[in-house]
Amino acid sequence: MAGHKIKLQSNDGDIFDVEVEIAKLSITIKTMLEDLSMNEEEIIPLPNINSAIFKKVIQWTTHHKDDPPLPPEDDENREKNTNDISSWDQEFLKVDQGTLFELILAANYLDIKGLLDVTCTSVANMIKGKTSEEIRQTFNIKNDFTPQEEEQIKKENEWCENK
Amino acid sequence: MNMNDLPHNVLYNICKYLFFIDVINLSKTCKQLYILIENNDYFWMLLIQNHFGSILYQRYVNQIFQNKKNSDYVLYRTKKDIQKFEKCFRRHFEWEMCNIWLWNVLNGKDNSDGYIAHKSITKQKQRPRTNELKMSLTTEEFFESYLNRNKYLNNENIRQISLYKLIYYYFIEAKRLLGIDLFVIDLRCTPRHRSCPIRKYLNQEYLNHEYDLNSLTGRCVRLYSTPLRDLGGIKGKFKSILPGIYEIICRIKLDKNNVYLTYYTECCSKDHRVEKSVECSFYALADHGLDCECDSKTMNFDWFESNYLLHENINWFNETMGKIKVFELSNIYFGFRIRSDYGYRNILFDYIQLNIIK
Repeated sequence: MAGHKIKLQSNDGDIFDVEVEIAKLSITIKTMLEDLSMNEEEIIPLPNINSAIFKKVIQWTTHHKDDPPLPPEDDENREKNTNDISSWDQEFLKVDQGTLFELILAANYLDIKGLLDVTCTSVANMIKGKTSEEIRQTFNIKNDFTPQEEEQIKKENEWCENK
Repeated sequence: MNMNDLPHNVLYNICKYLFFIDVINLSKTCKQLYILIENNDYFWMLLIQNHFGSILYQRYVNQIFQNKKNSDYVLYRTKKDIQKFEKCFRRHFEWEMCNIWLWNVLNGKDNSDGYIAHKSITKQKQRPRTNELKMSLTTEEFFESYLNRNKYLNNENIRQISLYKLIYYYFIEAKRLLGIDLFVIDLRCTPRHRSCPIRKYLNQEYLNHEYDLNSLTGRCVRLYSTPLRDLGGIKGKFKSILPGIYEIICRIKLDKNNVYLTYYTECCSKDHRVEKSVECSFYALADHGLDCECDSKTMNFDWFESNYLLHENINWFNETMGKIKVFELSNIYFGFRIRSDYGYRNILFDYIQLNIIK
């Protein structure tokens, strides 16, 4: 039933009319609709997602609604675990770090594998090739090791770093 | 919102897209990430599954450390079997261990270990005593294999590391031997082995080492054979290889050596069959596994010419020699040679590598 819509409510109270087919890209929503036999008139609350992020999620799912389903992660497809991001997604992910993490959390909660993969890839690309200190700076991570602990860890990893 | 606030499964999902060194650098940023990654078996098990697939995951996480060793009987390694093979070994002349390619590759000159392993495998193939040889490894053997090759590890600190991190690292660790570190085989040792003692005095130049900027370390080995200088072979041994199925790759380059063009042309004019007579072959044997052969029916004149057309004498390329199955901790003997090339068609050998595939 193309065009048929359901109502989804973000945690700040906004209600979104979303096409069922698009909403069902989220396994969480799909399960709610199918397994819990939710009435289509009912408003489905999404307590973990705010409006701004949900708008981004809808934007992503709308663009990707006709994508072929992701292949299962078996051995045949393992090689395709690449870090390539399509140009549309790259543009879509030009957001501040906070938003990127919020998007990851939303994709994780809503169980949208494609969005989770692309956002995680984006974070991974920000980590790749960086030293620990550079990673800390990039993600504003506080170094809570004492100098002694740092020395200890360095020693612990000598076997796989200094060959 | 910060990196540390992400749920664990999300963090693991991010690590799926990272290389080992990036994961290590991430773990060193703060205590929370260190705990989540460093000695967390579950994390490394997930990473094994994600990066190497379910077959290797099953094998290393659920099987090989639980499987019992194959009995000496099924492996044709009982005392009686070994005595029988030793007897066969002693029947050979010493010079055969030099002149016969296979015995040479199996280090027959040094001891009978390779020969016995070969005999056991041949028997297993001819008359299998079981249909089900299992891959197995004890944790002690696993640690021992690490201790033998990693100077930073000792009996105490290795036990502080997650077993699965060690397994992961074994999978990514380059199992590679450089051509220049391998032993060049001279199959022209005269009967009765007379010329062999001279070999240890041979200098590098005679052993055909040469410089090549695009080889891994800038140096490689040239393999070719002429009636006067039969240095067409190279052999070596991978030590402490763990159970699994490995793909064997040789990085090589082809060349047509003008130094021998006149000689080659002369030989061709005497016998037109010489024109298409290149024969390359490869053999490998795991002393607790099976063997793998890529013979001159595959690596023949057409193979040489088609690759020469593709890569000329400019590009290095990886040639797959085949797959080898290892059941228990093994040494893998191998040899590569070129024959009937009349000095003209040469192989430049950079390195040989094992890639674990399942």
